[in-house]
Amino acid sequence: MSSEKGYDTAILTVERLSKAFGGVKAVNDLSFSVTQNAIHAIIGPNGAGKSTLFNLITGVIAPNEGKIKLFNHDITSLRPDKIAQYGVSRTFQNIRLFPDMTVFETVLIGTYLLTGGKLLPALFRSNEFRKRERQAKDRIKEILQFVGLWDMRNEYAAKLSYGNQRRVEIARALATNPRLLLLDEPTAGMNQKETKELMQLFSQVNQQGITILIIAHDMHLVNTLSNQITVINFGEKLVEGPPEVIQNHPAVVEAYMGRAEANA
Amino acid sequence: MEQTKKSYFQKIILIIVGIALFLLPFAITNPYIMYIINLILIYALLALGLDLIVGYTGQVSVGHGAFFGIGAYTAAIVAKKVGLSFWLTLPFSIVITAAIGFIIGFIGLKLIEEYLVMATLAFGTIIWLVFLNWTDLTGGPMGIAGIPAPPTIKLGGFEFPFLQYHDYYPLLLIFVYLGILITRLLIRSGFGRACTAIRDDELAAQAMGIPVFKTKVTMFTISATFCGAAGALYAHFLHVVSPETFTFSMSVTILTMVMIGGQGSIAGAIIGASILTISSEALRETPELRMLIYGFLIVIMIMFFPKGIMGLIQIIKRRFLQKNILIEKSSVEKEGLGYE
Repeated sequence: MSSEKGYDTAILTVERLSKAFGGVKAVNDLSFSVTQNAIHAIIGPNGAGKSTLFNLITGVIAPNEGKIKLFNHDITSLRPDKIAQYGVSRTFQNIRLFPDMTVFETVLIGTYLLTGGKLLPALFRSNEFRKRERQAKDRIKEILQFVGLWDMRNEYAAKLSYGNQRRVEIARALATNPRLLLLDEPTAGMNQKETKELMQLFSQVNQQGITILIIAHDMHLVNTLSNQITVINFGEKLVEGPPEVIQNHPAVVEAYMGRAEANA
Repeated sequence: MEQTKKSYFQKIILIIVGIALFLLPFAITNPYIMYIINLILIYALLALGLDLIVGYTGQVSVGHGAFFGIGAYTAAIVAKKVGLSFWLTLPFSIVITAAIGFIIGFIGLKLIEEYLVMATLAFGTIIWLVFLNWTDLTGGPMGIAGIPAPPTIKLGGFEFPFLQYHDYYPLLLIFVYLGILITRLLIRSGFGRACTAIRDDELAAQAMGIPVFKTKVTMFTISATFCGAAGALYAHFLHVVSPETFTFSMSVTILTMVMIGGQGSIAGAIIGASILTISSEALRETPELRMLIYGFLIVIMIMFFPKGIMGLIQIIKRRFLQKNILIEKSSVEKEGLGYE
């Protein structure tokens, strides 16, 4: 498939995952895997369980059944911060920024795994502490320049335009140095120009060797950006494959358009 | 707006003022005023401590008066029953309040916000009842009297006694400076940033790899320790401790200081401590009225000035400088977009 070594290795494997809320099966016996360096899209109608799936992968909620593996580590039911340590970072469907922080401060939070939260080095400002702080700040400069927010670093993040707020969130996620980046409808509510710019950003992120798992509604975005698509409906996997296959798959058309149109 | 980065000029002024404050006793002859200033310093340390958990970490405690009391009683008991001096009772107070703070934090922070308030309220009340009723240890309603002042320090040819209010002041000032220093060092570190991230958005903080519970418990423990140290200083300053000092209203008073001064601000904690100490001395004769006023003030502050006096100062500053007026429109934008 590719000359790059390790392209086909699975970075994330979801095995027979189930989660029910009361009687509603949000995710039902779902299995799929994400290969390294892929841009893997999860699509499906509203309420298909996509966001639940993300919350399961990132440990916000625990599954009733099934396993989630990152490389060969079992991360099922681990705490979100533990899962973040394994190199999984995310953005949220409804942008979650820190209300009182500037862009720089917000992204600085993302470097927690680099700087750590130890008390004694902080109180005595050890050489190691200073070194890490410097590294963290250099890294943020790099990331903010990369996402195009360096000039706005001293603005309050919550004051920026919607599109730029999303960029702050992505920058914060990148600051954790992730191997796998989960994007939950990153282009929802954006205009075409913003969407296009973000898509460019995502492929640049991907080129840096970060695997992307993305939830999206915009079929154009999914078809252009991703190289693997998993379609889910009612918490179950409908089909999976590269965009060319998915676009015309009868089950997908049916899920999106309804049976009558599919037959027409 | 790199407001946190102070210019060299400002830093030098702060250092000069900091040193000049040591000379304050020479300017004040009235011992009563000196007594009030000393009280302000003790309360400043309490407010700094409580602000660590309330202002910087977003976890509200109404039981910190109890940590103050535990610190004071530990120092009093160790001083009276074991006969140790202040320099040894202080570490005792710190260790004991840290341990109890850790336990209370560990239990209480498993709970969400509203329940944490209730848990700390219950804790404060229980501790007060212990002070009141464990007569063998705490002296019951009479408390413990005759706690000695810290022994005189002899440095070269100079002697530094701690017998009068004027003598005690530099010691308290050093501890307040220490509290400010520790607060600053902590806040500007990965740990401190983790705390503010938790305060602002717990879920997002956790997604960044921040261990939320551990961070909260750690900060709660440090916060309790500040109050414990303040307690030891208080016991050796007044030479007497009694249960009526460490009631629920003490916890509320400290919380009011933080709220009025401005949460998450060192200057705010000190301003709040100054205002409330002076006003409660002024309202000494009518303690019921005092609580009524504090309650009213807290409500007003939460409703109109959630960032207290320091928040107000910042708003005025920004208006004055005609730049970057904070517009709270983002929250509206966010709410406009529902779930999938």
